[in-house]
Amino acid sequence: MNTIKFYIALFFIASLTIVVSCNKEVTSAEGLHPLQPVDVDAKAGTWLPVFVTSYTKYAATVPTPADTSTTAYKTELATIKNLQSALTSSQQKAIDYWSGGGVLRWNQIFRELVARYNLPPAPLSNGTYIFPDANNPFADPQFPFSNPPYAARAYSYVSAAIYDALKATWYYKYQYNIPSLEVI
Amino acid sequence: MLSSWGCLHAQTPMITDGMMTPKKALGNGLFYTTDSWNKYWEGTLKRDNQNIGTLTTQAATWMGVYGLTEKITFIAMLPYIWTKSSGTTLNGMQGLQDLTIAAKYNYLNKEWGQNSIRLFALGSFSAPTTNYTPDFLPLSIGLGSKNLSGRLTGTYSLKKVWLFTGSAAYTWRSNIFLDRPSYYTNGQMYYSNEVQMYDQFDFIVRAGYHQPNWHAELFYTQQNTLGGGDIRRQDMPFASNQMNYSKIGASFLYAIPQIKNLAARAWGSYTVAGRNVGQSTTINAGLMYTLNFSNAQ
Repeated sequence: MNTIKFYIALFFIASLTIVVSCNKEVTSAEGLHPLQPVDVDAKAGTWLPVFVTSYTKYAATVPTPADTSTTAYKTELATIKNLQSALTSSQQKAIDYWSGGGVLRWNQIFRELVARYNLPPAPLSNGTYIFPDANNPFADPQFPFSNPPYAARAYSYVSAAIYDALKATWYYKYQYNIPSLEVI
Repeated sequence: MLSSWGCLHAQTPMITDGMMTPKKALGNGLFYTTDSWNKYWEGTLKRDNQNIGTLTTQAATWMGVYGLTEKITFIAMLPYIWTKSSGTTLNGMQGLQDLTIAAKYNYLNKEWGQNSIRLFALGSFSAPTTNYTPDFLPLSIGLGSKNLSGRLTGTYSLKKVWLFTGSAAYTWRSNIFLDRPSYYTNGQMYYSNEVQMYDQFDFIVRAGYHQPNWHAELFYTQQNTLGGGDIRRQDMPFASNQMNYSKIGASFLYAIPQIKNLAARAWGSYTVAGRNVGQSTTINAGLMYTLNFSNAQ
């Protein structure tokens, strides 16, 4: 009888330990390896933009960088190196998150928004429905209702904007052609 | 029973009461359950839904009990479940749900005069027997998690006719996996098919009147899920929603005198308050036949 008691107690303790000790938390962000592009697409600045008519209109917001031999540039570089040597864990987390690929992450952010707004209007007590109101987007039902055509349009806007932004970035990156930090 | 959208064992009297099966006695029972609701709580908002109409869940449950010793009773249960909605857009589902195996241990008996106190510890484990989907609530037949429960039960018998029972359990639930690579719950998108299922706590208090061949009880029971999101406005329920409920009910046990070792049992409950569950009315009825293998008798 005592042996039975002992084994029963042992069984419960062992099974509880197994269950309690495992970490059940599911993280929302998908873990991704840093993106390794097969090609840098150095000529992407010449590709045809979707919305933007000309990259030169951003020239005022992208001033010519200082020459790599100037003190100003060296000071800026030293500041960046200092910051990099003392990254907080949340900064490191953000770096790991975005190194999975900016375009992919922006798509995930939009999938979350589409899922959040993918709620049809609920019927009122008299059986009728009210429609999402653009002037009152946070009311019930919230605006917009991301049904498939609406969601597809949102995805295409964002994707085209990202595509243009990348080409504009490449346009200025290769115009000034400052060597990367490892080279300096 | 399925107003919790899946949890069967927490309300079964054999799990939460203080009755033991005699040594070397084997009981086999078959129970029929019908559970229906036409109003449910979407988060804390109580509403109806014409896409669901009335949701009815039926179950045929096999139950086995075996007395290993006078102090240890094993219990096993396996339900076959049908769900159906009277609304026209959602098809019902059916199948074998979760197998529950439990061991009840009577570790303390104290008697004085006509009164007694008895204490019990119960451990139970349940797991799905088929790969039903938990991702089609409220028509899914279960939630798909593996569960491990630790339960303490105490009974106080007064003058051998009044019986008061209190029972409480903590249930650890395993994570579940959906047949899709992402899902949205609790205000967040998850890029994974793994869903965290929060643990549960439940308790039941019962007051009963006992006679040689029948036993009647009234009970109040409550279950709380210790985490999880609410059903969003006009959205489907999700398996990891915070499903809470309070129910009142009655239970009746009758040992049929004409046939030795055959007992009829019926119990029913009504949901008085809830969160992310249906306001269900549940009726269970069945028969249990006990075979006695003990040489002593």
